[in-house]
Amino acid sequence: MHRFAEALEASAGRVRAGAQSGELERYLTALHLEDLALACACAAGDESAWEHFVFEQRPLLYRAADAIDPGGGARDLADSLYAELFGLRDRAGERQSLFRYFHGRSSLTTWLRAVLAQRHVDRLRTNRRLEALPDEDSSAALPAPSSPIEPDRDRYLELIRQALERAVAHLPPRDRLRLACYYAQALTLAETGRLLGEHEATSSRQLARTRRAIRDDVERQLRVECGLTDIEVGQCFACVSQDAGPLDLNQILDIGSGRKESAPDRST
Amino acid sequence: MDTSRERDQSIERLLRQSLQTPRHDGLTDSCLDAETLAAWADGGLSGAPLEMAQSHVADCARCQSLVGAMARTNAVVAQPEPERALRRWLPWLVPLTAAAAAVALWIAVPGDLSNPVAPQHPAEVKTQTAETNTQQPAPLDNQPQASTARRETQTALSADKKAESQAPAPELRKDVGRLETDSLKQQDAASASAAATPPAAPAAEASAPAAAAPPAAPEPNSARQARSANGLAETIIVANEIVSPDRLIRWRIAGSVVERSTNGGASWDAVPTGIAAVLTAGAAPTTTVCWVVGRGGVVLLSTDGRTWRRLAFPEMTDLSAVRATDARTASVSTADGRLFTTSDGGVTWDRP
Repeated sequence: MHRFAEALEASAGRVRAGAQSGELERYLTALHLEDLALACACAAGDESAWEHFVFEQRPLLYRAADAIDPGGGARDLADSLYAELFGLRDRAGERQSLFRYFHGRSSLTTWLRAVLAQRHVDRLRTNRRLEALPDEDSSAALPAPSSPIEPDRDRYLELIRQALERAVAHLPPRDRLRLACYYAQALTLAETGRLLGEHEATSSRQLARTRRAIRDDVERQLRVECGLTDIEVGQCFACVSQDAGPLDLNQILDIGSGRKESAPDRST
Repeated sequence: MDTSRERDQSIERLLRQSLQTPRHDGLTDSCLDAETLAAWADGGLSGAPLEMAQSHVADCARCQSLVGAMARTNAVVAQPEPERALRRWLPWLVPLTAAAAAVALWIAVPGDLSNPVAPQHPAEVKTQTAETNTQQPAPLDNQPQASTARRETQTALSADKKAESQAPAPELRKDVGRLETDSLKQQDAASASAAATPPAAPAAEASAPAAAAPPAAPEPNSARQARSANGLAETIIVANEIVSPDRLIRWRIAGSVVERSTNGGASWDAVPTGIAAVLTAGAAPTTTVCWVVGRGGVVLLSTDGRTWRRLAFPEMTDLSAVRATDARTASVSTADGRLFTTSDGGVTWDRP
């Protein structure tokens, strides 16, 4: 009980300082208290609570791991999570459980899925950083040869790529997020809509609207800012249909943020 | 390239090709932590915090990957909305249905008291209950309570009619319809159990207090109809009675409480389950064997009539009905309409 009271107090302390009483009340009302109590009991080493937790959550966590990585690569992450949740590390004689980061703002199941997703993504990023760069004389490092038939092709591709970057950068954050979910993350319309709190039909309409806006903006830039004729603008699009080259939408979506410096690992 | 469609395809192609490019970017202080991401996924973020999260993820490839991975796990967990919706309107459904039942009693009792009542066959009870539940208009979240109460009253009155079937109110929402389907399944399961017993043991009797008369005594149609009008609430809130082949041995469930009677319902003894989940339905194929299912994949089995054993169920989904032939063989229906069967006492389950 004492631990639960402490956990509740810690959770309430996350509401920003100076918040009005109504805001605090809403926060407390929305807390998942049953899950918070279970997490407290598990963190305290209560055997029956832990048994209940494992019985309820392990199948879900494994299924979530398989959904994240159908090849089974995330299963070991799920297993290692249990070790951390159980609290194998001691600090000052007290077991340090991952449960201490759970404050009841979501269901325990959702939180576990989030932790698992976080571990998976960060592991992928770490592995990518460790991947060796291609040799300078390898084929992967060589630029694509220009077509002698279309000497302006590279120029057109570069122009349209830059125009696309600017067009995406000018979109509202919510539109950029929708675009990233759908194209970069390959989420379904339903998944995208759920993340954005809108119906999938709305997501579909908004995506179509965004694509139109991007196209209009790209065409305008090519004409006005690049000084291309209508025929040349058409050739830019034609180049894309043949080979657009290695565009990175994530790089495009990062325009304007300008703050991608490394920071301490905040795994939870 | 002149056609508009081809240009649209080029734009889409430009966007899609980015997926082939690996991303390299760093973690920032603004990146989402697991708890914020989980709160967002559960609808716990709103206002400024939600806008901040969306704005950040729109520009952060790492967090985009995070929400992408998270979204891919959505399908593996049961959606909590139906239960939350149920909880939200339960508090005012109870008094409303009680009021509807009271009005129905007030109107129907005087005329019926003078009429002798023939015992009713369980099949009739089942049909009547099912009709009533189908007709039962469930409340809409954004609809005034007065209109809902009026519809409830009309439903209670319409229970007097002998029409075999009637289309449900068109404005019923999908989730409400699912609840009613669950209710029907529960009634169906209860009726199936009752079918093996003599008549005059309608499931609605489960709402009677422990000291009520033995179930063999027929009750007036009006009372039964009034109870049937309140059937949805009875099924979910009050109790769900399970009759074993020996009519004296009965079980009833209410919320997470299970009780057993060995004298036909004259008195009841609690049989602790040790779980807090809401139980929804049960089946008693023998006098000592009882299966009970509930929300969140809860399946309980008693083989001695005194203790429960929780069986591992393959999914954390809400269960709405169970049929059993003995302690080893049972079929469990999920709230979304799937059927799982076991023939080894719940050790393994055959999935749909």
